[in-house]
Amino acid sequence: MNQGRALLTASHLSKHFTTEDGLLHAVNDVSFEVKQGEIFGFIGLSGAGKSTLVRCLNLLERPDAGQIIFDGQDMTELNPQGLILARRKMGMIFQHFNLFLQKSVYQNIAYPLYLAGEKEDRIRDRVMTMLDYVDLKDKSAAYPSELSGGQKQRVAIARALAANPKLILSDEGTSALDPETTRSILTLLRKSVQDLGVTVILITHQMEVAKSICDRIAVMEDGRLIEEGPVEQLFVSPKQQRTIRFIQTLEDEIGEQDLKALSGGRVFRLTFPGESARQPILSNLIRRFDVEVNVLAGNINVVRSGKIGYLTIEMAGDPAVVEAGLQFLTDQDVNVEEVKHG
Amino acid sequence: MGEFVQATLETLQMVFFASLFALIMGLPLGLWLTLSKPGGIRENRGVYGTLDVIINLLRSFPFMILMIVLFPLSRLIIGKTFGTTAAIVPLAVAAAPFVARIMEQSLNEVDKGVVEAAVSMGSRTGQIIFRVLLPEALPSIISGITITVINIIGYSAMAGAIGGGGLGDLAIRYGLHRRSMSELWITVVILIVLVQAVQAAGNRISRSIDRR
Repeated sequence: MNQGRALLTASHLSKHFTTEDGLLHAVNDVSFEVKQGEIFGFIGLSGAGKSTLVRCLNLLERPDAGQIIFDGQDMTELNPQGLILARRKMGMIFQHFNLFLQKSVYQNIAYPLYLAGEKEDRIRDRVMTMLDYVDLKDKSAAYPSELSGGQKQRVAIARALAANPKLILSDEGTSALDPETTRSILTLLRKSVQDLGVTVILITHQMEVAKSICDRIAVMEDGRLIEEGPVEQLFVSPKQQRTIRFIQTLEDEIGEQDLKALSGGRVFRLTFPGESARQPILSNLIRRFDVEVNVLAGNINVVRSGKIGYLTIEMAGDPAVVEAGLQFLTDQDVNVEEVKHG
Repeated sequence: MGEFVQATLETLQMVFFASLFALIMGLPLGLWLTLSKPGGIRENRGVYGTLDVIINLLRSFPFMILMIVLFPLSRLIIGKTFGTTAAIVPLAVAAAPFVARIMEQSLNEVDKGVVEAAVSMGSRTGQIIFRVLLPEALPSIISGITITVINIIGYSAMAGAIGGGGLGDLAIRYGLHRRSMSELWITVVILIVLVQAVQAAGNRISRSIDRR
């Protein structure tokens, strides 16, 4: 999928707001490229600028600087008419669904088709197809107030997909949903990518969402994109210390300050990617080397391509033996980082 | 008896036409306010500021004074300054800015996110107004119109005091000048029935179309 051509390229995007506390750089010189048919996720804490960024992509917010090439057109250079036409090639879903409350489910899904100038019977066919696709065929005449959160988001997805857009933007599309509903919505999005060839750009503050659906993730902090890459790479061997910290924050693990060595040893964070997560590497380590190992924290993350195990351990013993043990771990494809104490 | 029928018809005529013209002037004005307000889809601080001041100015006139001030306008349009038709002019002018505010408030109640969804799908301004904003705000607009009509019923009684005719005129002639309380009470009862009927009808329509 990574061989696909670029559908959207953003370069040096910036957007600032004047607030009471002065200038806020919500988006600060952000560049990235999204390929056709991939699910690209932005993750970051609230206030990191993700929402502003995604809203810049369809010019709900006009960026102060930078360029957005979408489907061969520079979004920022389009005249109003051009912008309207370009927006019809993008669908958007929102945290709070933003359905038309006075329109039925049918009328909600029909709206973008009406915008596209479709004929009545063509609209009816398409709405029925979409209702079937999102599994809400019996809700055609219902109004949004009669639906559950998950059903509302399904309608919103059907509405976003109805006019065959090339790109779906999701602004925290699952943040208002419970975990089970979140999973079903993510499955629906993934299915849309496979069945309809649509591309998805999503933003989320939920690590589970990013891990389970994205092909590539970009991490945002204070308006900047600090690291991007395929999901596995980002979780297994993040390049930036900030990314590591950030991932740890999101996982809601024990904070590093709590990971004090119990018996005077050194503390390491181990990442076991893919296959090595299933091997008894730790017991091999203890059997072969004369070291004391205390497990301080652990976690297994399920990403799209497999499982990734995390373990924070303390290792005590003869310094040379500890070094040899570390080498052993590295040889087993385990990513080892020492946890610094501040 | 015939007097009461006559006066009721005059009041209904005044209220109907004053409401009609107030809505014709006020609804577009309220829409314009909403579109041009800061953050609106056709943001224009100059337009918004000007409309805002004009509406506040008109609304700060006590109705009695506005009627007198508008005598020249009534004469220009109707040809006279007294009578039922002449009273329609100040009634409509007094109610229009009120309608504009009610309309503005109703449109502001529409979730910003819903409008944003419409924008993100590539709607033109006209499509946003007629396909999204107005339908979404309609139940609230109907409630607002109900309040307006009831206000105009109240004002129309005041208009009667300075030669507007209708139930207000009747009440003043019997109640104030002749001290005849039974006739005064009859006009009050008729006004109460009118207000109740309008309110009930407005509530019913608003509720029956609201899907929220």
